[in-house]
Amino acid sequence: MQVAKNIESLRNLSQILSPANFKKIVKDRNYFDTFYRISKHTKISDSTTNFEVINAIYKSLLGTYKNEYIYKNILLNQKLLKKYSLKKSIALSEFKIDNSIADFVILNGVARVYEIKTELDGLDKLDKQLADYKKFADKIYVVSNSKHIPNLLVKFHNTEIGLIELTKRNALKTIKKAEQNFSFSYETLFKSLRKDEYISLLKKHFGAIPKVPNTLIFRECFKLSKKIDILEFQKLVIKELKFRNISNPELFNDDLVPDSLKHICYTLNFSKKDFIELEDFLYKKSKLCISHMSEANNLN
Amino acid sequence: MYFPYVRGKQFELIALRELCGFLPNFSTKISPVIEPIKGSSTLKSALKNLAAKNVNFSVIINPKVGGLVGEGNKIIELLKDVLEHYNNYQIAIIIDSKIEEQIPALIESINNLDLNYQGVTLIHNSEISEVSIAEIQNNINVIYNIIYFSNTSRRYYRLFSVESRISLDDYFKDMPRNADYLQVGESPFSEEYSFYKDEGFFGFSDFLTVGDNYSDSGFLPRAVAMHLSYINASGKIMVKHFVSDSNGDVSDIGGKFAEALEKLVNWCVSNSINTQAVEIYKDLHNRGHFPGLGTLKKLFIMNHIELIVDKI
Repeated sequence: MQVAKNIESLRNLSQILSPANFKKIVKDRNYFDTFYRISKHTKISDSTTNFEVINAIYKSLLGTYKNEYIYKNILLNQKLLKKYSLKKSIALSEFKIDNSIADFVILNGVARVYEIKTELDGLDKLDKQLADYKKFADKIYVVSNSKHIPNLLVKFHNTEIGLIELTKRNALKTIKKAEQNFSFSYETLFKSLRKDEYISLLKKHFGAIPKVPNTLIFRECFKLSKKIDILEFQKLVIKELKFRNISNPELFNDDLVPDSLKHICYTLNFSKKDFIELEDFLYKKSKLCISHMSEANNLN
Repeated sequence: MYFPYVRGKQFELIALRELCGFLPNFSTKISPVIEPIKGSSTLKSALKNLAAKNVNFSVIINPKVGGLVGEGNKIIELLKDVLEHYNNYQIAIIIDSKIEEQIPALIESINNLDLNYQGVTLIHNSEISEVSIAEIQNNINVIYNIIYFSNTSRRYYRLFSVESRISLDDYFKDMPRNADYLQVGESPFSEEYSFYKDEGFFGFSDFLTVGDNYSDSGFLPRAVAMHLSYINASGKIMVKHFVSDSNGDVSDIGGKFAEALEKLVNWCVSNSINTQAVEIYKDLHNRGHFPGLGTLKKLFIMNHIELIVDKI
């Protein structure tokens, strides 16, 4: 099969590889967008399966259009699955820390934040974002490419911020190691938890929580949390957040999930049933699906 | 007669359901218009409660928002199932610009409905020609014509008989963000309740203090805003907005509620406002309890309806 090479087409195809689109495919069996994009921007033979189409698109993106999804997916494959392992670590995507949203976070004993700056991104928000992450994370990395790395290296050479380059060959190369950060904030850490999470944390630590009506519970619990040493509190928050694990880590490592879709499946927290639905989709013949769709919708 | 226009969201229906229980004269002064958005158990129980109190109402069978758009048959099945022999209600049809081409089909399907309804309520969201109006009125039993003023010309309502005319408008000017109401303080609502009869209308309708804007999704707000309808010294309905102050992020929604509630209760005490909803606010204030955002909406809907039912 062939994938169109121009940037417009790749940008359009890149939309296929998104959690929102796979949510439609797997949970609603809604394939319309996907097959419409495939029929417009690729040439496929009768025997081409969706599995092959997805991998070919991913490969094209890896070559010439490295968007945020590519970065996140590589981080998940290289860092979470290969380096830190699913048993002891979890990843969070689009995780709110103070007033910023962290692209990718890995939690095990410590919290590592990875802020992605692709060549399509500007760097103007970076200072604000990193200042927020320092209130939460042990180690902070900016993940970027050859376009931005020289600037970033100058900017951060005397700081604890680490730098990782996504190379042309799609390797993650550590340019500068992140140093341990200690500038945590009670407020930021506390607000990263949901109600049931801060209650469970405080119960475990103090044996009980304040007996107050629910309009006061947040304030009282926040006050109480400040009695814990900040370095210990940060560890407890991470420990609590780690319970946000995916439901089926054992299915996840299976060969069933192509590398190109790991981040999507992780983010959508697929169930056993979802994985079966995904497999069903991946082994369909694309061309057959497209011709069905065209008949139904008079696309031709 | 007051025709509150409610969307079939859970807490809007619960507001109607609960009002049935404790408002005297409810059934003689009110005829709710319900635009169903899903065939929920709350919709069924609300309809059953209205029927048990012999309240007249209209149910829209061609909703324009929500999950039942284009699913008129599902709504009809639900009515058949839930209301059985009850017949003190109307089927409502939203008239929009596209409907003119489909009038014969519309008439046929209405006349073939296997339901015990009284007649039809038309909601004029846009104008149709006099010929079309005559064609509809000659073939189906139209009881109410609800005229959406902002979407029709100044004289359109004259095409309908006095005893069928209901005025409708969206008097609630909603703001993009809840925190914006901090600047507003209060806004005028409508005075229809005092003028509708003199101006040749059988009744009046509004979108309460929710507004016509419909959204499927909910999200955590940065600010909690509570909208309380009341009647000022010159007899106008006003809406007072009580808003939380710590609006920097979405955390501590219960605390934000307490801030807004504190202002509301203080204001009601110093202005001697005593509706049933206000009593519930006072109780929540005493107990320091946050019942959830849905319940807040329920309470300001209940307050608005109670205010109007008391006045007419």
